[in-house]
Amino acid sequence: MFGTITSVREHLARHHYIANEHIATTLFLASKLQKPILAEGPAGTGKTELAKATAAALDYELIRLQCYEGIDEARALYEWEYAKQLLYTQLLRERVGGMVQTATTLAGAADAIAREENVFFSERFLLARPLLKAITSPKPVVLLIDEIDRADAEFEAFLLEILSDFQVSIPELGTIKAVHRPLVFLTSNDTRELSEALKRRCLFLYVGYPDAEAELAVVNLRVPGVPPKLAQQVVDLVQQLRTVDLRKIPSMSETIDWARALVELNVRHLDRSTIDTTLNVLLKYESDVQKAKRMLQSGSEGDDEPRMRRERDRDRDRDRDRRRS
Amino acid sequence: MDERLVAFVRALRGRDVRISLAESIDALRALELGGVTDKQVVQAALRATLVKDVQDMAVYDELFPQYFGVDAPPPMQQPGGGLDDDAAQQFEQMLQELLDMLDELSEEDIKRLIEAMMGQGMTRRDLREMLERHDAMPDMSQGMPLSWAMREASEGIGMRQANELLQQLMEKLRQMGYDPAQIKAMEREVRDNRATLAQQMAEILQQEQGAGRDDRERERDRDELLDRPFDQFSFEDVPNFRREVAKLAARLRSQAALRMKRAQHGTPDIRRTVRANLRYQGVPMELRYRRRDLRPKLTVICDVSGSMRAAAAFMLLLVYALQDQIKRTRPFVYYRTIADVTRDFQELRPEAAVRVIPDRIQGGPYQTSLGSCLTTFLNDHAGAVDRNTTVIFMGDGDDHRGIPRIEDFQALRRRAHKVLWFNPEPQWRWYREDNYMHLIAPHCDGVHVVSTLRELSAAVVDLY
Repeated sequence: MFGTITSVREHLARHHYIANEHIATTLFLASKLQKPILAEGPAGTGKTELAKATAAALDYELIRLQCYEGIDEARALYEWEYAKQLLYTQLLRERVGGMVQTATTLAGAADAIAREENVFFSERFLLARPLLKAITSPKPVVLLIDEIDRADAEFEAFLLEILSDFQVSIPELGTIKAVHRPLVFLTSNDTRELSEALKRRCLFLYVGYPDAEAELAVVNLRVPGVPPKLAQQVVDLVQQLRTVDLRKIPSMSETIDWARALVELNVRHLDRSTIDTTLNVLLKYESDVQKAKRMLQSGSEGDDEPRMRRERDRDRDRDRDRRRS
Repeated sequence: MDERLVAFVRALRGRDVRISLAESIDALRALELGGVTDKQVVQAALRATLVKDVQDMAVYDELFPQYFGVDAPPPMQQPGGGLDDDAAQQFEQMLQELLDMLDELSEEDIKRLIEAMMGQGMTRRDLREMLERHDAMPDMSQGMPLSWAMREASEGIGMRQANELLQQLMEKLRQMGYDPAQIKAMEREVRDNRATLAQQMAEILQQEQGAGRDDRERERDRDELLDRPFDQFSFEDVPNFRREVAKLAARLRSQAALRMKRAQHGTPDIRRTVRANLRYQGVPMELRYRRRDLRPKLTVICDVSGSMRAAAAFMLLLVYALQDQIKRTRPFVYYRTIADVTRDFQELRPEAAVRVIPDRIQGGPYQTSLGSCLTTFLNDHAGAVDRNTTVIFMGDGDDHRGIPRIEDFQALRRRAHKVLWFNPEPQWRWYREDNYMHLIAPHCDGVHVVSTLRELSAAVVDLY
């Protein structure tokens, strides 16, 4: 476990994750208070990466639960492996036959089978899903519940119980309590509002787009062999693009992809033609690419913005005048 | 430290940040663990434990320095820097005499205020103590406007007297024949310092205002928000609006969950039953019932002409807040022409999307033309309506380009499950010039007057 906030930063940096003050403090508190971290922010800003880096830094196993619409207990917690149970009963048919042979009555035969029931409802036939795996793990683990906002509200409520007690009741086996409390990360892209109850149980961490300095540091760390000038140019351009009204703003991971692509292409510094040919690595929509090119040409932000505003104001005025008359 | 934290939490709550007791306790424990020596750590630790919504971060960042910041005096102008040596000396002497005189009269606070205006800034704590000493802290819990409170407070501590005394000094200097331009510059610097003091005072009063608000007032604010007509809303109200809507959504969710649960007990679903019981070698031990999805499928068509823009924005925000209670939403906006804005809502947060959607309408004359928009809708976007879809119009029913074709409405109603019209205007306005609501209304399955949030919520709840 982490001893101080500074050690959190050092540990993470050793695993190629640059944590700011907020991230380091929140992670430190989470490990001390044994509370889950709810990391929210736009896609591609390193939320999942934080969980991975933490697992690596602590040398814990990372158990990941990817949420999706319709995910349920059977996918997240455990399931009985019916097929295997069936197979075993088929294979053991003779043994079972022998067991009931001595019984004289039907009730006696049923009792004889019931005595062996534990065999079939044992951990042998239990298919542990990520949550149960995290709870029963003999070593401490990092549990990553990714994109919780995609799961349904009912699943969120179910998660609530697990996250507060770290124990599960399996009717056939009894209650299973966590040996070690896992360090839990929940990530959300904020596509829907999470419930108050869930938020209350977590420490909240907002991971936004990094500033130029941090982004440069990450590019240098993550893209080995990137020329310093190129890294600076890439970061400057991305920072500039984030101020433009794009359909999809480039995230940290896209900056890294772009820098990697440029290094692969043996680019030493950015020029117009390189940007034109590789911009599609950074921007995911044709309209965005065109807008970015226009911006680079004019050297200013999207030039149709003031015009649209003028038009809107004119509309409003006309409408109001008409109403008055 | 504990007291300060409690006061901080109170202030945050006063600004509508929801903080539970459990979270305050977490914050205290976090401070114990992280230590209180490093301000950045304190800020990060409290933020992680107290603020659970990105929208509240701004309030947090604004209030934090007021409670945990270093309470240093703000940088002040140093008036008199531009005076000639002679004049400066003269003024210095007169000022010293004035201050000595005030000392003798034991008017220490007036003396302190003059010093502050002359460039020796005060800390916020000093100013607060001064206000309390003079019993000049206005009662902010009664909803007194800030400007009144400011006037009352500065009057209370003797700001006016201090200012007048200083003005008299400068007037004397002018009479002595020194350069008026220099004196004017000095007056301006004094004025700047006074403004800085006023700013500090405003911060103190705002802090007081936030902390003093109790639950009853918040309830009153809420009522006011619910009953405020849409055209008086601004984008600043969106966070409050979201909070209201979250409550509404929670209510609908439990209502809908109950209905869905009941709806599932009915016709057995043979296909799913057979599949579920394969594991029992086909013996039907677990019955499965047909799932009925009772969530409505909505196509919302909003008028975004100038007068209707606010109402349309709130309508769409509401619908999107209830997104998980709705099977599918297709939003359209119309004004001069009609535009499909589904994509905007897929890619942006609803708050951001409602800001850009009016720009999606391109071309056509600058007049609302409901009729032609509806015809275009039926020609180009008819796929957005099927027999399960509830079509909701949000508009006033104006058409400045001609009479809308009633056949189009009839065609739409035949295709759709239901056609509803939400109108922010009352019925008596229907018959005015260029308004065709009275023609349209008979062809809708329902017309709701929705001029406030309360009415809008009620109308939306009716969909379920």
